[in-house]
Amino acid sequence: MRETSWAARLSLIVAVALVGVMPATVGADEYPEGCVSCHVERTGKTDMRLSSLLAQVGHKSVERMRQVPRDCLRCHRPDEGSDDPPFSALIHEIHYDVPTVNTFVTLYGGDCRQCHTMDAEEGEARVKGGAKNW
Amino acid sequence: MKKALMMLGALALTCSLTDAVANDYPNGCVSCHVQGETDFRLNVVLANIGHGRGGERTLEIPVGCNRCHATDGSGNAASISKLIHSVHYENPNENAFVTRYSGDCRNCHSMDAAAGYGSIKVGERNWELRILHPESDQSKQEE
Repeated sequence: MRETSWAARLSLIVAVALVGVMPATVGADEYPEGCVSCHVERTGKTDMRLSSLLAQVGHKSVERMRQVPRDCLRCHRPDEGSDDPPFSALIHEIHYDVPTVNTFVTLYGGDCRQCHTMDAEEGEARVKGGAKNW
Repeated sequence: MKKALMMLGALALTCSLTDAVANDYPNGCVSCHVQGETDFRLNVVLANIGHGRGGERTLEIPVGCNRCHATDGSGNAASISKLIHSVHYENPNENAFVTRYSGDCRNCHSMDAAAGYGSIKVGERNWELRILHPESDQSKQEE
């Protein structure tokens, strides 16, 4: 009986793990609004909202923003000829840098489609957006 | 039994954690479009839909496709970027790239994290030029 119980528990673990590896359900979108769908108040015990994370790294207040990431571009728009990286480069670097320990890669699979959608008819990728959650 | 299941569980978990950094298709198009039970190489697939022979002579895939399919739409044929994205993502419930290969952008693209840019994987064609038209090639040799 105990053996069966162990086997059942382990089978469940295997099944859950395999589901994580298998292709995502077609059409399902766990993060329909991109940044704000993932960066939420209760990710475990951590407040992962962008307002909190940015405050921790000394970013100036983002209280006045409405749409994310659209309104980030009010400031993160390098002048022509500037050496500053575009906003897209900044976000890609943060999410893919040091992939072996980067949470976006290790915990969330580094899937581009968490932030982007594909317009198959037009054949173009787009950036998801959503209202701020703070 | 217990040990076997534990091994399976550990393996599956390991796979789920390393999946993101693994790269099963380092050369993009030609890493996936290969000759298996079905010949899925691009020269064959394109011939089946009536594509001109010019494509067969392309050496670097997909860079060489830009000769006609310029990404900015300025070429003689449709932009390859739009074309390829549509082909791989339209009708997602039936599209093999989505249903079997999870529609993962990183099958075709790589991310240069230091620069913050995604780029397109490239590889050399995986076909010989004479494969598709042996009869015409044979007649030339006979001449």
